[in-house]
Amino acid sequence: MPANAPPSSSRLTTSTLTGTRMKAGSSLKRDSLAAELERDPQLSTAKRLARKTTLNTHLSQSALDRELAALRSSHAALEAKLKDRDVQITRLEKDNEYLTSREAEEQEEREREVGEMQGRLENVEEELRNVRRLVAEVEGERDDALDERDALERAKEGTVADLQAQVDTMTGQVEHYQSELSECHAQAEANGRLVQSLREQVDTLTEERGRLVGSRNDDAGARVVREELARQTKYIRNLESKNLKLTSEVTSLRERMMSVEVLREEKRAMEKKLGQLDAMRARTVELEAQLEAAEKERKNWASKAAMDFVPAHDVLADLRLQHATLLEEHGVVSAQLNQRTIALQAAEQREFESKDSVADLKNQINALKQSVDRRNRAKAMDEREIGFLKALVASYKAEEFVSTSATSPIGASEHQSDPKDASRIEDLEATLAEYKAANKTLLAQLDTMEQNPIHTASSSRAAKDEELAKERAKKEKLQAELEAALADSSSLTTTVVTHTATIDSLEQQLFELSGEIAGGRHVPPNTRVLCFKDNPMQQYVDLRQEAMDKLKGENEALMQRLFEVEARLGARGPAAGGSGVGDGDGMDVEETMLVGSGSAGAELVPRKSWETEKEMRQKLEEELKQREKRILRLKEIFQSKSTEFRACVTSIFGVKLAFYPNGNVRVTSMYDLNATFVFQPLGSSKTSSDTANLQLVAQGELNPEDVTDLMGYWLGSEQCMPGFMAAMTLQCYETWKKGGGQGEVA
Amino acid sequence: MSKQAAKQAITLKGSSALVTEFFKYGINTILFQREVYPSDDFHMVKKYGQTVLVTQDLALENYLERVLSQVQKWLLERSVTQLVLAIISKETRTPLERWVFDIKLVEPAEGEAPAAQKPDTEIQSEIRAILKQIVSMVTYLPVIHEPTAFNILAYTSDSADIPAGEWVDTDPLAIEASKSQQVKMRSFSTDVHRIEAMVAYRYEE
Repeated sequence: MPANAPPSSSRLTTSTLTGTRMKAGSSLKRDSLAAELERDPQLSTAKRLARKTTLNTHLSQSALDRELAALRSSHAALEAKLKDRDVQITRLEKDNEYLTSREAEEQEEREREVGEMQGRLENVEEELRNVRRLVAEVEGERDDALDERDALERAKEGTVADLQAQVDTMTGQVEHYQSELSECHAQAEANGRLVQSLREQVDTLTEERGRLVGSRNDDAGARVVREELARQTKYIRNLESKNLKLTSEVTSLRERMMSVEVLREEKRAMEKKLGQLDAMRARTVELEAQLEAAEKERKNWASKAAMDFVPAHDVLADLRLQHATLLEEHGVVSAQLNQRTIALQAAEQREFESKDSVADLKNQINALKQSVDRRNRAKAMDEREIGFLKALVASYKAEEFVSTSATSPIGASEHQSDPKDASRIEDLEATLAEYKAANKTLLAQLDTMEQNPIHTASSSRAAKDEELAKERAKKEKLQAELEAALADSSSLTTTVVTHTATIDSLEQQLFELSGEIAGGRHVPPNTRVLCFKDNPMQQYVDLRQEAMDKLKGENEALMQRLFEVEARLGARGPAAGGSGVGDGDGMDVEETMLVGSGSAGAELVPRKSWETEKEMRQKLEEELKQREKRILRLKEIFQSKSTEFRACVTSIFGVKLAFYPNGNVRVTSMYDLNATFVFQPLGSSKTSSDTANLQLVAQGELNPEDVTDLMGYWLGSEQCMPGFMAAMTLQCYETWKKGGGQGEVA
Repeated sequence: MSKQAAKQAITLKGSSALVTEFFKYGINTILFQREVYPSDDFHMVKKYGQTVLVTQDLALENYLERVLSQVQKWLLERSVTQLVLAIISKETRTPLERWVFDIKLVEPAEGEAPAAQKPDTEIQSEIRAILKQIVSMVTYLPVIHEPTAFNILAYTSDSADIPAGEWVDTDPLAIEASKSQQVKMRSFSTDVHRIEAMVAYRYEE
């Protein structure tokens, strides 16, 4: 069977499927086939196989055909669909083209419109400029017009004033004319009346003439009447001519009136001038008066001068005479003065000489006194010599007496020595005589010298003068030296002063320069000024800069936000402005963040600010965490330490301690849990210093008898808490030991 | 005898250390007296036979230590001539006071015998006098009403060895000549160095 298997398993599956589908429809065919199969099973098997394959192929072919047909139909349908699609695509393309063309048109149109609009805008701007220019011009014109108006108003006011004046004059004229008119009217009326009366006369005359004509009988009467008539007509003519003359006269008068007005004006002007002239005249008069007064004065002066001229000459002559006499007196006095001065000089000379002579006399007196002294001294010496010689003589006499009285062998020797003594005495006497002679000669010399004092004085004076001159020269030299030394010393003192001044100024300069250096304004050459890079000032500056940068960033973000909001408000107009700020469009989401859930707008903050705040908050939170952690750690340490401490106390003192937050301390013996005492610190404060003064406030379930004694002793009389506790511990320990050492020990 | 003298003689190193220490206490005193830092930041220590106030601010301590260690190095190299503590207004950044410490080397003149060794007690008394003078300066220096900061400037020679990146050239923070007044203060000297103090301050009428 595998050899007969179809090459494609898919085909087999298809055929089997179709076979099963065709089963119901081909039941009759199967019957004939079955008959054939029954007839020859050997052949039928092969045939059946062949037929089966043919049938399968047929079936598969038909299935394929059907499939093909189905595929074709589907293909056709798809093609139709494709065509529809194509049609649709073409339609859409057409639409697209149409739309693009429309769009292009619209674009063009829009561009055109934009161009037009721009053109129009330019035109409008141009117009605006023109209008502005026009406005400026109009304003200028308006200003001009205002100026003109002002000028006109001023002119108008002037003309109005002129016109008013004219009106006034006119009204005056009118009044004048009216008065003239009324006069004329009156005259006319008078003339009229005259005419009336004349008419009446004419009437009466005509009546009379009529009557006379009626009664023409009387020629004489008629002649009279004619004459009267002629006279009357003549009179009338005269009157008419007079009337004409008067009217002409009136007109001429009117004209003259006009000219009179002009003349009056002129007269007024002239009067005004006349007023000025009056002032001038007054001034002229004044000047003339002054001139006259001046002339008068001049004349007075001239006359006075003429009068004074003669006595002045006399006075001058007198004065000259006086001057001459005075000069003479002066000469006399000066001559006298000269004489006197000469006399004075002579007197002085005399005085000088007398002084010299006095000095000489004094010198002589002194010399005489000295000679007297010398004589006295010589006399005294002589007397002393005489005394000495007398004594010598007496001694000789005594010696002689002794020698004569005593005759002894000594006398031989004395006699031997006598020639020696005699020679000695002789020598002595000779020397004495020499001395005396010398003394005498000296005295004689002295006397001679005293006798020729002038000679000696002159010689000594010359010597003295020489000496004096020398001394003087020496003194002058010394003086000069002294002066030079003084000059030197003064120059030295000045130099010292200047040096001290320069030293002072230099010290001041040094101080100022050191101040310059200290003030940092001068850096010595070849010196670098350095500072540590990370110095406190720099740190502060950096910190401030950072804060400033942050603030700047925030500010910029805020400004940006503000501009955006303003721009959006402007774009949406006032109608949409109410809800504009809070609308969360893309830009808002990007640039701002919604914080909280209140009303919109107020809650929006710039991202930058938000970030800064967040950063700061994070920092603070971190710090808080660290602090908390630290506190926790400290608490733990404290806990462990306190536990350790309590354990230590328990093991050493045999009591367990429990501290309560209100400051109370509970003490329990480790040997008896019933032996519990609660202590309370004295006073309100719970500081550690007060724990020394604890007070027992409660006790556990102990046998009161056991405790009372101890309490009575330790707390009552001794007031020693530690002692009480120790005693309690001991007692509890005893009890615990008695009980077998079980239970309560912790 | 000579051994003892050699023992007493101060070396350059010892003098530099002494001067640096003086700078430390001097700067601390100025910072306290001129209220550049709050008074609570300072605590009292015993020094030079008197109580001196020294900062407890860790950052400031660190800064001073770093600055002064470098100054000590320069002192050893003999390349620093002046140390200036400038007090600056925080708001306007104008220098208000300049506390100047001139550093001079004491060298005996040619042919002159070296002077006798200066006893330590005398140096200390001189330093004490300067510190007291700094304290007393407060009485007549103008009162500062605004928050201030400070900076330390070192005037060094051109050839000085400068740690790159840590120290930078700076403006001398000068006070204008028309508004500057100065007071010369005491000085002290070791056998090697002579420190002359001076304060220049801004004075506006």
